[in-house]
Amino acid sequence: MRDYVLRRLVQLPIVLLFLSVIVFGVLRLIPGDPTAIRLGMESTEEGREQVRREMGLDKPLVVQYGIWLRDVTTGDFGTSWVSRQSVSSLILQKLPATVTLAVASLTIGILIAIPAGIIAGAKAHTWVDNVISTLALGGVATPTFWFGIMLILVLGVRFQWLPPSGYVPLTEDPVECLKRLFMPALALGTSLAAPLSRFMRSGMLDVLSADYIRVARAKGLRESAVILGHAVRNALLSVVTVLGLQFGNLLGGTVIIEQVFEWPGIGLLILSAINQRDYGIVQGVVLFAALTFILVNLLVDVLYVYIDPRIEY
Amino acid sequence: MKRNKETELAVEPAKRLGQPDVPAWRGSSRLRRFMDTWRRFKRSRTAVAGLVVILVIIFMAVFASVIAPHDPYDPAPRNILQSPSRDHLMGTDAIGRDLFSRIIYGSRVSLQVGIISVGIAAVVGVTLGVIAAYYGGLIDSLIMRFLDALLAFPAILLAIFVMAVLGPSIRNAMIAIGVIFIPAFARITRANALSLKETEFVEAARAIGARDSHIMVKTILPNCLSPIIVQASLGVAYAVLVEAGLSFLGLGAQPPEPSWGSILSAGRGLMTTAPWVATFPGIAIFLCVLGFNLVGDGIREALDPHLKNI
Repeated sequence: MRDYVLRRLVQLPIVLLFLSVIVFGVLRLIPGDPTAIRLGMESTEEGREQVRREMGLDKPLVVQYGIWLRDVTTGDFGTSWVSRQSVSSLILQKLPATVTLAVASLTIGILIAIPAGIIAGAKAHTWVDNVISTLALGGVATPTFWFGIMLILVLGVRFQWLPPSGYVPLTEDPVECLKRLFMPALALGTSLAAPLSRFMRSGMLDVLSADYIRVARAKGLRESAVILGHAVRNALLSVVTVLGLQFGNLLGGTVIIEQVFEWPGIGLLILSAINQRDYGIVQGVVLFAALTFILVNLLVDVLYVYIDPRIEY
Repeated sequence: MKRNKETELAVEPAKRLGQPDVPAWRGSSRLRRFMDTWRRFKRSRTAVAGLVVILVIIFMAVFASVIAPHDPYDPAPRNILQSPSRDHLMGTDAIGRDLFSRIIYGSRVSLQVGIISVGIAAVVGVTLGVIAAYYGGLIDSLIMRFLDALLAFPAILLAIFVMAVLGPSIRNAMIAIGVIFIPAFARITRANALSLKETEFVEAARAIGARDSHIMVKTILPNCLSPIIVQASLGVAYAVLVEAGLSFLGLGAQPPEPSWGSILSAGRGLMTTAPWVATFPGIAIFLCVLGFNLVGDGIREALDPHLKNI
């Protein structure tokens, strides 16, 4: 495992290089003239030429890539093609809403998945396990956005218990914020919980057949102590590794859920940028999300070594 | 000269079959193995249920024009937003089109995107995986780092990115979804091919002077098919989900094309007046994804009977 983390660290620069080539290269696949997008239909040839110079499009592709890479490494994720605002500042502006949603969803997901997985694993092949496993299977197949809409339909429209959409910053009005946060976070959280609980269950099953569990039982420990004290702690380890990968689903999920609930975060930012063909923002946000994802996975891997004392670091 | 004798033994049964190109381990044993797997697959009730669901959806897609009671594109101003009734089983949408018919036709989009995108991913991914494993060294490292870079994107976001650049259409959705699945296929294939590379029958093929491409396609590939098939089935499930998501965001199928995702998206604005428009396509997506997941799990268990914990 230690070698694995070291190898990951060594590979990181190469992966980042490929990543940057992909993000830079894909944008060059856009059909048509990017300057026309920026200037609209009624642009003159001189105007386009000027913008081309401004955007650096008159330089060779390799030079363009070099300049772009230099900017990115200094924290400049480019500028909007439409409003000319810097993408970094736009991201910073939208980040609180997305982080609020992501943290709440992750919390809900873990609070559902871990206990459900423990119970299903400890009571494997009983009716409790069957119910939980069936729900998890259904959860994996449920489209997040549909579940979100169904929540709005029932809680927001039918019973009118909660406001159907919108966002209020936590710092402004905590109660109103939580009210509006509940449905999107529940929709996203359950979509995380479904696969997570399956991993937790299979982790429990692996651990429960281990020798040290038999020893614990032979010592005459109560079953609850065996499960909670010995099995759960070890089963959690396997779930931690999956958590990093689930973070990717969380990032992707927020884009869709933000659209459903009109939650003005990074997801809505990229979607409105796509509608306006503002590829400067699209590129910056995608790069930002990918870097965050890499960082989180790296952290999870290091964390894994740290929390499992059997692995020497 | 012991080695020569061994290779002779390895090719000898194939010669007896009169098929010099087909190694000994293929042929009737393959059919027997398939029947074995099918027998184990049948034992799982959930897997069979999943298969039935998929078959029903395939049937719907193939015979959509026969089954659908109305034209899925034909607006009927007099029938706007009717709630489910005997004539319109699932009601009608904002311009009076029959929702049931549109959902039946929507199965075409979902299956098409699901199967073709996974097909693209499988062809590219498996090729990359076999090449990486077979040649190793720098080629392997380059391919794997490139795939790591693809994996570094959150899957849906990568699809959204590709769609944003290529423009919204079903064909582009297939490409975008295909791209996000490439690493999974490549990694699975590479892992299997790596261990196969060291086996005696590959050594034997090499000893009789088979070309690299021949060894990769005819010797290594057929032996790593099982995990690829499982991945494909689970992949279709996820692809259907992603296509629905993209279409929901307006990046996939374009109107008036009936896609489950885009119907749902239209229904989002009609929640107070016509909740059925958003409800039914979601159920269709759910069943389709569930079906492919169950079958995928079923195949996995059938191929590997020792696997218990999943």
